[in-house]
Parts: sequence; structure tokens; C-alpha cells
Amino acid sequence: MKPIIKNGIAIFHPTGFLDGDNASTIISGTDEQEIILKKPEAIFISMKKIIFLNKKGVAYLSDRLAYLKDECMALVGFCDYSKKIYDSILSMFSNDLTFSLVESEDILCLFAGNKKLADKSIMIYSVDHSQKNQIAMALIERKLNVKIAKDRDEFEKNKKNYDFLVQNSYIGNIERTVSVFIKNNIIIYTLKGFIDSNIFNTFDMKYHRNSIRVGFRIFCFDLSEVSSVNIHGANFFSKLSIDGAEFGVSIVVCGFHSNKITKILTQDLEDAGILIYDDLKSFFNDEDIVGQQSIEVNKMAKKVNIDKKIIFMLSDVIDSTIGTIETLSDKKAVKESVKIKSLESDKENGFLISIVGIYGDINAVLILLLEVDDAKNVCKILLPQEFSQEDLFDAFSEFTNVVSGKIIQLLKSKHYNIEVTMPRIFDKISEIKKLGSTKHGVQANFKIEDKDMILFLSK
Amino acid sequence: MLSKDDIDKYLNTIPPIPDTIKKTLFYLNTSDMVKAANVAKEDRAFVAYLSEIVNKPIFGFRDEVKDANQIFGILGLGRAKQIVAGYYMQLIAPENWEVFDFSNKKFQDLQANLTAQWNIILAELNIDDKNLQQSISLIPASLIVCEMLFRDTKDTIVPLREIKHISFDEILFKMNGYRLFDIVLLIAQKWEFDENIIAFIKDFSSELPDKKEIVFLKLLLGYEMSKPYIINSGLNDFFDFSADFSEEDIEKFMEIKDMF
Repeated sequence: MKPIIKNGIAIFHPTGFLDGDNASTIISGTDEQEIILKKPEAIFISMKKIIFLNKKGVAYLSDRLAYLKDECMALVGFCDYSKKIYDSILSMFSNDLTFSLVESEDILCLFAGNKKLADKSIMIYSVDHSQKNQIAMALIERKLNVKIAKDRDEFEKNKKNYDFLVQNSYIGNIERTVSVFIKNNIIIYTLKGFIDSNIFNTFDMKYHRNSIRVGFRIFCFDLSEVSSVNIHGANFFSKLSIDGAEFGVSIVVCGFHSNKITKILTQDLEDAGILIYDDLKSFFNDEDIVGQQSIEVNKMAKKVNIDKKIIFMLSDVIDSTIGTIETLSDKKAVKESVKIKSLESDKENGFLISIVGIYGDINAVLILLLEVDDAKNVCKILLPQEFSQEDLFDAFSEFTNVVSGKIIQLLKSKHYNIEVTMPRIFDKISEIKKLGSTKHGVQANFKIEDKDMILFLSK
Repeated sequence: MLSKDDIDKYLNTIPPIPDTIKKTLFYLNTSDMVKAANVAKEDRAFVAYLSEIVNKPIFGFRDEVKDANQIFGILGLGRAKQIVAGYYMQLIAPENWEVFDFSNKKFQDLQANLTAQWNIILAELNIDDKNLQQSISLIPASLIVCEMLFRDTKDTIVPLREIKHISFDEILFKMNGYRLFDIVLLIAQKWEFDENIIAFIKDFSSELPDKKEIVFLKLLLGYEMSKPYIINSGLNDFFDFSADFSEEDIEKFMEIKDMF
């Protein structure tokens, strides 16, 4: 059963009966390999459609989740259950779980993943005091606005004032050493524990390099939960800074205190061009770097050229994209031109734009521009009846994932192994031009009825 | 995108029920098992199907049963009608499954399991209703309809379901306003299924408060669709109903399940 992986969270959705006979088919070896490759921040099994479960089934799955937890350093467990299932799992394991229980997929997004929730208010209530504190700590570490209700009365009285209510959740140990989220187009890695040579093994360098290719230029390491950094840990940051210099990448480190790192190592980091801040807040208050990041990027952007491989994959990219658009919109896309040029459009606004990095046997950046009405149309299946701009961005991102998935499959059938990054979504062409991937590429222009659609592929 | 025109085109491809089968069912409805068996024998493919289904382990016959008279005799009137109605599905089943990792053999196993288990449930609930018994034959038709409707767009729909937890039924509804069971009902009408069966399927697929037999049919589907052969085929989440059953109903179902 394939999990849905979104916003850094992988969720399996089994239905019906969960027992010893079928548990092994829910997470297969292939699923495990796919998850390990993508390294999500959380791996959960949704119990929303589970009618009946027994201990054998849950125990089998918790074993597999434990394996994935070790491999991915992820938060693992079960989510989206009724109070009845919650109580039944707690009693099956005598209130001593090696995994977590999170009452809904929405609440799971508070504990993991990269959904922006900083402005939301959360109220926690649990009869288990240690759990109440552990849940609160986990959320506070993620910079969320948390209130702990001292008793059931306070919880009931005030719950209507909060965006999220956490009351039937159980958090097992969170041993992640690296987690990642995005804020203001800045990638923030949160590190924990002791930073030594092991960081070279646990840090996903492939993800980092591809984030650079997609256009991220500032990478911030939040070390407020780190106990100390030795010389190997400091070398790791220096190496990232030096590696990223040619792309205009800035490495920022927040949450350093003198008791975590020696003065000499701090100076070494500064010498390697690393920006050091007391905490995340003071970094985000620094308009000089946060506000000007795109301009810096534009100045430093490396001039790249297209190559034979880009031309080779062009027809597959066009087939996958147009096929998906036509299937989902029931409209024909008519090709108008294919030219080697910089990204150009008659209009600056009125588009939804997605950008994905392709890496592996072929390295490329794919930019797709659809007029907003067409974007809404192709996303119709993915959108609720009433939707916000954020929903539309999410749905367009999912649509781009479908296109990317088809490109991967097509190229795989030609013995090319590629992977793609998560899409970034924009609504202004000027924003993507700042990323520096819009020069020297192949631009294919299409008309969907009277509307423009542009596909741009560059190295 | 699947438009309403595509749905109409699909419905036009549904073949009429062959005369042999119609006549067999007519004699079964008049309780004339001998004439029903004699007519059935005229269609060798039909007899082969009957034999294949009743000799599946779930029916528990020790010796192989091949002859139509023998088959109807052993099954009795209610179950014979059920199996004849099940044969209708063979008329619309694809030769090869493309959207799901499924096969006609597995489909027949599913049909046989549901049929035999549904009979046990009805008996345990003290429900003696031949139409209700026969309705189980139509439920798996939704799988075939889904397979046939989505096969041309599977390259987009299958990856889409890998990034968003959305049912085939919901996708179809957003594309053209039809639900899968709307199409099953149109097929049932075309095949002139009994009005009571059509009404039961309508109730099953509606959001009305559930009757006892519908609750147990949903539990049965939840149980069967959780088996490894279904999970591996990608059909586990096919029936998209709420899992919120009363403890009492689940307990009763678990008791009945031990008789399967």
C-alpha cells in the first residue's frame, strides 16, 4: 500500500480490518524503500477507516514503524483515530508506547512537516502530566503558540478560542537530529543533541544540494536544542558554506551560546562566511539579509546552458505535462512554438507557476506556467468546493507532483534514473526570474483555448 | 477528463442479458429448477462459470460439482439466483485489469466470498429475503465500472491518488457529477434487475441512516476488502464509507465472521 507523502509527512491509509493476517501487506518492503529514500519527518498510519483492529496487527505495524523511525530519524505512529481506538491501543501496550498517537492528520502537522502554522493557537489537555509536558515541549520547539489547560474544566471553557485542540495524543520519543521546514523561502534545519562527525551521515546532503538547484539561497540552522558542537560539527557548517559559495548560498546558524561551542570554532565559522545569530527571531528581524535575499541571489546566479540531455527529455516532459493537463481539464493544449531562449511571457501576472528541480542521471529545472483559470481547472479534483489561495497553491503543487511522477516513470522506462524536488509555487514571473534558472532554457508555448501555457526547461 | 458523454458511451457498450440467462432466471423465479438447469445447459460458458464458482473452497462442497441440475439442486433457489445474477458481471468484466492489479480469477474469488459470507450473515440476522440475497451480486460491479471508466486516464489518476488520499468515487463525482453506484444502478436498470434490489443498492450508496442489513453489508465489505489479495491489488480503500460502527454491531459481526 503506497503512502501519501506530503509536506514532509508520509501517511498510509488502510481501511477495514487490521489484524495479523493483513498487517504485513500495509507496509511492504517496497514502501519502506521509498520512504527511506524520501526521508519524511513523520511516518504515520491513519486509522480513520479502520473498523476493527487487534494487538497482533498493531504490534506488527509498530515494529515496521520502529525500523523506519531508525532509518529516517522520523516521528512515527498512528493518527486519525476515534477515542475508542486511542484507548484500546494505549491499553494494548500498557500505556508504554514506542510510537506516537496523534488524533488527526491536522494535528500531526503541528508536530512535523512544513505546513505554516506559526500564527495558530493550540490548547493541550491530557490527564497524563508527563505526556502533557512532552506534547507542549515538542510544539514549543517548533515555535508554536501553545497553552496548556490545567484541568478538564479550563479546557472545555476555553476550547472555542483555539485553532487546534490536542487532547487524545501520545508522543513517543522524538529522536530526530535533523528536521526541516521552510519560512519566507528560507530553509530552516532544526538540529538537536550533539553535533559531531555523525552529522555527515544524518544530514540529507542530496536534499540540500537540490534545494539550491531549485533556487533556495539561504539555509538557516537552528541550534537552540543542540547541547554542543565539536570541531567535526563546525567543519560540517564550514563545508556547506564553501560548497554553496559558487551559487551565492548563505549559511546561517542561530541559537549558539558560548557553552555550546568554543570561541575559536565560532571564529572559524565566521571566517568561513557563516552568519551567526542569537536566535531565529533575531535572524528574521534582520531585514538586510532576509529582505534582500532574492536580490543577492540574482547577482550571484550562475549562468548555465542547456545540453543534449535537456533536449532529450523535452518530449517526455511535454507529453507528461500536456497529457496530465488534458486529462484533468478536458481541454486541448495546442503547441505554438518551441524555442531556446530566456523565459519570456507577454504577461507578468495572472499565472500560477511551479518550479521543480530534476536530478540524477539528468539534471534540470522545470518551470510550468498556467493561467490562473486553467490552473484552477486542472486542480478541480484536488480542491475543496470553497478554497483559499493557499488551497490553490497546495493543489497546484500536488498537480505538479503528478506531472513529475509521470516524467520519472517515462524516463525510467528509458533507463534514466531521476528524482525530483518538491515543487515551489509562485504567482509572479518576476519572483522566479530572481532565482536565476530562467535564462538559457527551452521554452515551449501552448494555447489552452485562448489561454497561455508555458513550459520552460533549463539546466 | 471523463465527461457525461463518455459515461453514456460506456453505458452503450453494456451488452444485453443473453436469452439463455434470462430464461434460466425466469424459471428460477417460478421455482422450476429442472427447467432452469436444462436451459442453462444450452450455454456452455455459463455452465463452466457456475461450476467454477460453486467449486470454490468457500462453498465447502467436498466433491466437484459439474452438472447444472446438480449445481442448482445443491445451491437451492435463493443461492442459484444469486449466482446467475453474478454471471452478469462476466459480461462486463474486462479481459485484463489495468487500473488495479487484479484479475478475473481474483474477481470471481471476491464474488464467491461475498456471496457465501452474505448468505451466512442474512441467516444469522434471520433475514429471509431473496432480493436482498441477490443484491450482493451487484456490489462488485462497481469495481468493474471503475476499472473500465478510468483505464484511459489511469496514467494521470493513479499517480494523483499517490499524492492525495481521494477515492475513485470522489474523482468521478468531481469530473462529471456521477457516483460509481449511479452507474451501477443504470446498468442494473438496463439489465432489468428487480426494483427491490435497485432500491437496496440505492440505500446502500446513499447517506441515509443505515438499516441493519446495510450496516452488515458494509462490515462485510470492510472485512473482505482488508484481505491481502485486495490490499495488494490497490482496492483496499475502494468502498469509501465511514468506519464508525457501533460496538454491538462489530461484536456481532466478529461472531458471524468466525462462521465464514
